[in-house]
Amino acid sequence: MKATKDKTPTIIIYNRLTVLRAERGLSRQDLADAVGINFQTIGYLERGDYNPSLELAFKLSEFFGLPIEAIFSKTPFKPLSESLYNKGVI
Amino acid sequence: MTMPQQPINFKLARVTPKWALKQSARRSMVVLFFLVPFMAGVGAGYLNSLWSLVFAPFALVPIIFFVWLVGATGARADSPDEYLDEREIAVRNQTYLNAFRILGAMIALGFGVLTFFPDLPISAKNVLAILFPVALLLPTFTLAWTQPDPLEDESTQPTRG
Repeated sequence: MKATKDKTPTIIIYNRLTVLRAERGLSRQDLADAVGINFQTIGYLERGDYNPSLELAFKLSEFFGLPIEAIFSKTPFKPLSESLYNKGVI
Repeated sequence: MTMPQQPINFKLARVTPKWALKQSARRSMVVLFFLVPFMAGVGAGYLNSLWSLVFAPFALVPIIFFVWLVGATGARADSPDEYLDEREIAVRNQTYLNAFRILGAMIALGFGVLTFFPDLPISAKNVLAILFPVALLLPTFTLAWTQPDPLEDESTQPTRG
């Protein structure tokens, strides 16, 4: 990860970690324990202050049972409800 | 998967007061670590030998502050890779780089002063004797200074029942 002097990542990677965690009723500590990191790091990821390594992205992908591109994206995610409605799921 | 069992210095977090976790409190302690012994030394210098003992308890202040700083930073400045996650390793490595730069500047300043003011009653040995322990503690001070406030406790609670 490249970082500027103020430690914010130069490439913004959006993620759905907060939503996915909320859907499963997990605390940050639960998710952190599941993928073997500190719960503070989950907070940094959710706020976009830290971009995960490929290894961590794969661990999160495996844990949630979703492809990486469903969790991380270079463009902002649409609300999950809107995506599902457009696909006719709801 | 869980993190390995934590070493003894991680347990210092248990004796660290909650207010010490705030960045402003950590920065204050870093400043006071150096300021309190200096002021106590100056104060003791103005008193006779018996009254100067009044300042003796102030010698404990830097020790207590350092223990709290280690606890407040989660002992991450001195932890090996196996006790840290990838973000913490990156933070620790950046901390060591910053501490090295600060130490380099302090050494340059110390020897610069000795070069331009050769009559000062300080030798290069004295400068090294001060800088060596400071060098050992510098990564913890640097991390304590730069690490932002921790997340609130409620953020670790489940988001629904």
